[in-house]
Amino acid sequence: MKKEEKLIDELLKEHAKGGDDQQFLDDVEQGISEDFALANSDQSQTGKNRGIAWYLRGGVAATLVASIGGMIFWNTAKKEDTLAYQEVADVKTLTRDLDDTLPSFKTKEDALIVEEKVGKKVEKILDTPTNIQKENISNKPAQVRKELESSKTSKAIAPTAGESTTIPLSSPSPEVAFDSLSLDFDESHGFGTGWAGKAKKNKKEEYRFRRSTIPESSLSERGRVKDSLQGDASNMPQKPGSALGCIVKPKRNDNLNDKYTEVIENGFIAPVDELSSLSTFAVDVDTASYANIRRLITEGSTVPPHAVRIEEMVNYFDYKYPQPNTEHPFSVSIDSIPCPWQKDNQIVRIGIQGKELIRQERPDANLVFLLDVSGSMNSSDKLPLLKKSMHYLLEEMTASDTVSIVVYAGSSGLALPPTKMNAIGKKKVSDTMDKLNAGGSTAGGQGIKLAYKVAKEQFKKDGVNRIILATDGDFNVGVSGDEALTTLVKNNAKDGTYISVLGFGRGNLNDSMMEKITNNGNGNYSYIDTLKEGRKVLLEDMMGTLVTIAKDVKIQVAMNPNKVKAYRLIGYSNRALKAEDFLNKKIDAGEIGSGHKVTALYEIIPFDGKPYGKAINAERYFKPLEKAPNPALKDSDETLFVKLAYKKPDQKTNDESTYFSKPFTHIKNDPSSMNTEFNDIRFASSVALFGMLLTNSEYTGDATLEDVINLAKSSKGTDGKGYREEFINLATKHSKKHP
Amino acid sequence: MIENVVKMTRSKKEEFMELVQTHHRELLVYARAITGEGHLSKDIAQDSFVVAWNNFEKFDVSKNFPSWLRGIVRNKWKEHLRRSKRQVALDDDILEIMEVQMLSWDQLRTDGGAGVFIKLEACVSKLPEALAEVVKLFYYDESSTEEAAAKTDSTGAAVRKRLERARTALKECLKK
Repeated sequence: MKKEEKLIDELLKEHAKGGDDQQFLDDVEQGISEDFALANSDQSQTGKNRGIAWYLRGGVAATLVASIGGMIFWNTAKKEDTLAYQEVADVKTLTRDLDDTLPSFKTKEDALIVEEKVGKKVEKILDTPTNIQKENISNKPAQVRKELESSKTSKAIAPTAGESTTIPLSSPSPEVAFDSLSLDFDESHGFGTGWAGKAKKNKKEEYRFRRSTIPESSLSERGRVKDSLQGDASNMPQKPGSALGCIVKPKRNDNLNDKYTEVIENGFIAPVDELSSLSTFAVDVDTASYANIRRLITEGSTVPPHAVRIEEMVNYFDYKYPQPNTEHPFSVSIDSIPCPWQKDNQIVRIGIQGKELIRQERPDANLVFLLDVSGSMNSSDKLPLLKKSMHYLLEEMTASDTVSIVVYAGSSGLALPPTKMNAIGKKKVSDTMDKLNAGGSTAGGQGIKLAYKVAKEQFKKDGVNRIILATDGDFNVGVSGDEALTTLVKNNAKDGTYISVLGFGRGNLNDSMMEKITNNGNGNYSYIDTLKEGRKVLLEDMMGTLVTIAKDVKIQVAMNPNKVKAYRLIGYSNRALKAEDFLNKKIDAGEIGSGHKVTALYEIIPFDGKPYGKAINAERYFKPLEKAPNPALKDSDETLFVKLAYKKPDQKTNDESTYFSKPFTHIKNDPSSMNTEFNDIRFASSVALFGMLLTNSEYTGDATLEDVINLAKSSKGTDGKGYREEFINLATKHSKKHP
Repeated sequence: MIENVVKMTRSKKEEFMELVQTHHRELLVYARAITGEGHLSKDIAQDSFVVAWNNFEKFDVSKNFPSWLRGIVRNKWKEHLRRSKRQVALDDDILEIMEVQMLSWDQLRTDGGAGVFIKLEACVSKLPEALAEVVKLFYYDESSTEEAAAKTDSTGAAVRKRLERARTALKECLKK
């Protein structure tokens, strides 16, 4: 949503609440009733997520109050009433000091006003919290002593954090008197006599209008009729009678705020002419979708179909592909099996293996961590998980690498300037990470700009330059909208600074934006839900991710119409390219990192002499579509022909891509004679089938979750890291919930 | 003598609470919109009212009270950002756009009108059916966009698009 739309969005939400926020009004009323007792309004805050400064402030103030209380008690105990006030006057100075060190909104005038409203404050701290709420106290020194004697010092000096900042100022004054007489404030609710003519008048008009208008008018005016649940605003029942007749609303599911882009399933295409015989797409090495689905299933939530990107599920797992032994930075393997869910069809797998670089060969890295420290990142599955996961990456870094940390939330800033990763530097990173605290809202736009600026300053010409963005994805200030962010990311990728996005948490996850940022923009996106996943992404995958070995990698598969009646690319639906894009050097596509694997699956309906789809005959005016086929190849056994295009990481937009290709012929296999050699493709098929079932695909035939589990079990293989076992458990858990 | 003081204070406080009641919902809307945080925005709005109360004597009644309050909210928010030890990077352009929008909503009240919520109701009722439907589902029934999509036989993307159009339409309608 655009920032400009925020207001109307919030207005609608507020309207839907159906009336005055009585709790809020009560809080304000109490706030201004107590303002005499507050040093200044600035100190009355009782919110959460206020960050370090707030806690410090609270702590210092609490200590102050404690000692003041102690002093007052001591003095009072000695029955030196007048002395007590002397001490209080001293406190004033202390409070001022505190205010100097900690910035506040307070104006000079504010302070003056506060000074005028004296006296009361002493009792305020001395009183117990319950008493504070119930009654205002008289201001006589004797009363002070009485209070002190009745409620022991320990009680008297144990205010809540918010109250701890209520420090007494100044000495008693004549104003004292009215407070003791204003006890019944909270009970009064008639409209008082006017003091501010215009405002008053308008208020009255509005009041009248409300009464005559449904439904806003049906809400209780500022009556003191309190809901039984009023103590907890979040549980307050919605008041009836709002415009659209909704009354009590169920609490929104946490996950329902996750944003996903619509995923449209690829259908079968019959290769009847040049264009339709070509299937073109950009590679995708992301795995985020699988981790996200795993999180949803594990916590028992429903998996929204649009959260499922089958290619990311398939790519999550390790498959054995040979290392490249040609001049190209990656190898291509193609194999096929009978389709597990449609026995007459075939599954063809195209596997790409990026060249593994050994550690010493790794170029120097310039990493800029862009960390979301907004309030929403506070939960244990977000910032704290990131902190732990980051230590894995630090292990891999050497003195020739630099790391910087930029944080954003409401505002953005450089938390750690570029630092060399020697032992001291690593310690600095750890220390900085430990100091970070989540708080504030999100200004991803500003943050990302600053991160790119830092990365540019440290740019390593032959090295790895990368922003690592860790967030729950709620960008809402500055560069607004997916579009602008995507452009920013894309332009920087052109200059050699890539981005990796690490997604965290749930409920607020903006999957769609994170996917979009990394899709066209030469980056990748991973979702981290557990420490194990953090290790996989940051240690096992990140080293591959960090070193881009090929970019703008496109795959185009040419289907032989004599062998293929129709074909369907499973997944990659938002990665599809036009056939002509394959040869267009200016078209962006995916990147492959060192050691990365990419797997794509096709479901193929073998050629049987009959046309695919409904039989039509339009030959009177239209010639059959096929134009000048190559009979020699067409009539050969070749099933399909895979073509690849890529650029080296340092090549620019206008540089020509490198092309190479590989033919493939399907060999008929008897499913029963499948040996372990086919484990990988069969397991990949089971993952794809699971994804198809999750998205209610129309191509699953009679296949069920049971088939997914059986297929995965029979093709599990050695499964060194236990990922496949985890998948089987996940599918089993899901099948129990959806039998 | 003392009685007089009490009476004055009471009516003044009463007066102030009336203003709070009149304006708190819009101020909460504003605070949420600029901070993007539900809980914190409530605290900020509350603190802002207290600051306003403390400085109430100095407030020029011929001026726009809600606009004054929004200034306090902005300062409170900046202060909060400062305290969290981060550089302030609020987008002034956006703040300006929002202020203009809020001023036009204030106008709905100061011209003797009913205020923005009543107007909003009228505007919602004028929405084309397709848009009104998703607004009802999403905002008033608190369905997610996916749920709304299921109920309207549509897709999540389409629902989001419709919501966007509805918001734009409502924004325009409120201006009139």
